[in-house]
Amino acid sequence: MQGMQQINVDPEETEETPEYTPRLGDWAHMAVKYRDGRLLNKSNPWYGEFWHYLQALHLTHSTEQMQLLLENVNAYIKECEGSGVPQPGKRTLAVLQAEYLEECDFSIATHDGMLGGQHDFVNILPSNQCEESWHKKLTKVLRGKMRGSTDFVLKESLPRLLLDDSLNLPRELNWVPSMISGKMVAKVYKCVFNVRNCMQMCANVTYLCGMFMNAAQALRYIEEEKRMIHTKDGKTNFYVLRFKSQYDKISKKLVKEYNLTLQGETPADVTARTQTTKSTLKELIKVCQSMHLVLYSEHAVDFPAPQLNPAKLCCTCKGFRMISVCSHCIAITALYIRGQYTTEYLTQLTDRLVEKPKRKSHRPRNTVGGAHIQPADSSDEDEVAEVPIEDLAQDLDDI
Amino acid sequence: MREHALPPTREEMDEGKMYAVDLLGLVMFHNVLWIGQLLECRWSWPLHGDGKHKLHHGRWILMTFGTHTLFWDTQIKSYVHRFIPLIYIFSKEHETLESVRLSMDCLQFVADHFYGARLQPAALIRRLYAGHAAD
Repeated sequence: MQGMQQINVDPEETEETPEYTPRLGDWAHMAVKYRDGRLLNKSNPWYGEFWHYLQALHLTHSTEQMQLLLENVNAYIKECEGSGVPQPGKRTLAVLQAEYLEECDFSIATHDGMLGGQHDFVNILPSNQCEESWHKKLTKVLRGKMRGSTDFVLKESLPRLLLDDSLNLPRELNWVPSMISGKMVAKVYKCVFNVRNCMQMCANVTYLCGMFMNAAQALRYIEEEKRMIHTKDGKTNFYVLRFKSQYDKISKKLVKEYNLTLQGETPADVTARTQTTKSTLKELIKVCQSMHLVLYSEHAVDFPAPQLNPAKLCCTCKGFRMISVCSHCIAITALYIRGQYTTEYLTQLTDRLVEKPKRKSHRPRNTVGGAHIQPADSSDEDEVAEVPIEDLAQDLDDI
Repeated sequence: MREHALPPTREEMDEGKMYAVDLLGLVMFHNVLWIGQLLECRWSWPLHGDGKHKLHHGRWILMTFGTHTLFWDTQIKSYVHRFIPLIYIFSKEHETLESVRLSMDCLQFVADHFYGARLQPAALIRRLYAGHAAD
């Protein structure tokens, strides 16, 4: 047992029953450091390229898949180092590799579909982003208030921070995303009229609630079931092609290759159709990010399942890891899981949500020339007294 | 300092009052409530930990350890993970192993004091330090 793992061990526990707490590296810090050039110098010729590789590592679907990509990334770094291309600054690829990629503490953001890895948690993203966000608020609340005397800090500044948390944070911890609330639906009514438009809205604006987006996206999967979904027996493992995948159609061959990468093996076809380390790495990333695996969570730890995931399906996407439901799970439940909701239920749900509202006209009608005669304005007569024309002519002559 | 000592039961806690744990740790009533909910939680939950740099009192930084909860963000119209601090610690050694250990001791002390149980997070999420693998 090493480092932070020993922190949560009960002192009464003997060494024979050590408690293991995985240490997950924080992606948010890593991404910010990379953006600031603190992991790799910004003027490095491979700066942009390696950002994609790190992202691909972060989004791998199993620990074994991550190790596979990591091996290939490390091999490519060696090749880059050996190429003799000068790398300015202290932060070179070799330093990045030595500090972050060899002694791997890299944690993945997706649920480990293999259900046995140390990253196998639902609702736990390896990211301290939430705490960083809280730090922003902390800066606002305590700005300039830590500079006073210790007495002032203890009696004024810190109690204010703690009170602020007491007032603003929810009293009850929530792990299950609830169904769509009335306010959300009202906003959906205003903007969306049908599923197609809804999908355009989803693509353009993050306007709709996650659950609704998931349901609507699931319908899109269902519409294109043959192209997007593959399953061997319709009971256990389901493969769903990603919309962002570089492949147009899911096939048995692709599924086989993806399965091999999930188990940490390089598919023979990938090796055959690539010649350089770089092209192999790119091809592997293409296969790894082509689809998601949805499967039953029989052997996984229990997790809070929302209403749209009654069968407790697990998916290898990042969205699932965050709120324990995703469009892939919903589509598979509607299509293949018996005794739960059906495609019609989803259609009704989204239809009901996207029903066109009766809009009241809030703009005046356009004026139409010549259609109406302007009535005489009686108010003018009251204010200005009539003057005979003869009097006016006489006045003009005088002038 | 006695006025900030932890009372024997959480019913005796004042909602607006700050309590000290081992001199450097700070908790309030709501933190104790969250600890109680986590002890009853049957799902796996993470423990986030980090220190707030650039905002220190004589180089003593404020470290916080806590978990997260699902929260509907009305601005971005989606679910977000919101940080829930469980304990606040003043630390001069920043995030060294010793200071983290002290924080965990304080946290477990509070859990044990009010509920007679130990917190069992499923994972520790913290900053990725170079060389931490050798800790």
